[in-house]
Amino acid sequence: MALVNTTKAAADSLAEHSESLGTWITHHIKNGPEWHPFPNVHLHLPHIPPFDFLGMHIDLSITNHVVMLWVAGFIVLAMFLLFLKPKNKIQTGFGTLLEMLVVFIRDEVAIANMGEKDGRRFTPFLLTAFIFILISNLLGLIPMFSTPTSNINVTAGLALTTFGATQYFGVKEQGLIGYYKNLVPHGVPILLWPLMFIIEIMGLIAKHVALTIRLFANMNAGHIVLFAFLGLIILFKSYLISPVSIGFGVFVYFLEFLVAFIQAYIFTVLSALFIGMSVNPEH
Amino acid sequence: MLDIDPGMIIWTWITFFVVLVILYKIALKPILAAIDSREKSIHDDIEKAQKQRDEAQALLAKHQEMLDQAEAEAQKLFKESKAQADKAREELIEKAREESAKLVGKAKEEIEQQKESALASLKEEVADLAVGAAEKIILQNLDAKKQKVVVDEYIKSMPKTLKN
Repeated sequence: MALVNTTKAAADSLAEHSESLGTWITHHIKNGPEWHPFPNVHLHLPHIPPFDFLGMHIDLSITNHVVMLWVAGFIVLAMFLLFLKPKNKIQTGFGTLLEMLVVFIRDEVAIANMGEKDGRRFTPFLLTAFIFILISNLLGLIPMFSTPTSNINVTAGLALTTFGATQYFGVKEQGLIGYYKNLVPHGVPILLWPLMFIIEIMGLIAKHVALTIRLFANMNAGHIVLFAFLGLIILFKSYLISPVSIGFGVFVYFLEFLVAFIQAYIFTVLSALFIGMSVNPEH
Repeated sequence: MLDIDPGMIIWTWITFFVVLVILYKIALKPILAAIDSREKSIHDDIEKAQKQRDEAQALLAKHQEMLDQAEAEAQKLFKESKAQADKAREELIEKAREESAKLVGKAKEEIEQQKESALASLKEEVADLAVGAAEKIILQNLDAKKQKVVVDEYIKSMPKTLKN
């Protein structure tokens, strides 16, 4: 009976605010200056006055997703500091899992895609990226929290980090001219070279844009589908639809759980591949 | 949903790099070093074990060889001593046989001699007896009945040893 009442109340409030289902879904996914840890609790986050820099309107206000990033970062640090004991030769409990993760990223992601020397060099970066993105992805599956990686600016920031790494280490390894010259495959006719150069630059940008969109879209899609299934209850204004909605909702939840791992892994592998390609042009 | 917000990108960078630096300094650097040193120690241990196994194998082969040698030596010694013992035994038996043969020969000779002398003395006695008996018969000149009595008396008077 309580369930019926809650459903009715939710549908009524929705009707009252004359909101459509679409705006209801976007409202739950959107970034905002408030954090709703519990129903009817609104935490107003500090607002910092925006300023203009190089023609960009920069707003450094603390938003919902910024807090989520901090939470994710805090969880990552807490996990590694509490459970991993580097002084012990053999880890115990949860530390074994973390150590397995470290070895997995080092051997299967970094060294497998970048070679022995560079793999070891970039392991800390890739490992941090993997665990940070993974925790961020999983955060949205816990009530009270939302997924920071479902914000395109966050994924863009992460992809730009990879992009920056490819450019910085590429130039550092091969020199400014050497790096951009090596972008174009060897053996291209001299007349085609400028065209190929432009195409390669576009490809370089497209790769990282794809990296951004892939993570963002995957993280958003699950949430939207989840809310759409639950929204059916409100749309039909009938609790009879709830078994279907909740059944599919649970299914999508587990699917999201899987996708969170897969996307974190894909982002890390592709980052390793891109950095590896720019550091070793022969590959 | 798709609007670009540079502030958010900057916050992402700040958060990510703060996490990266702290994680690297406090956890990743030592744990990667620890994993490396552990892997190295495992590698070294395996190599050492391999070497020790090879050494042990060589030692075992050497010992086996030594053992074989010792056994061969023992076999040889055993055979030698056995041959020696056999020879000694043969000799002893031969000697004993000779000795016994000699003894037997000597005994036989003695027996022969004794027999000879016994027969000679017996003959002498018998001759004496016959002479004595004839003497008595002749002296008394008696009838047949008396003669028989005389002979019986004589026989009775003979030493017991000669009765049979």
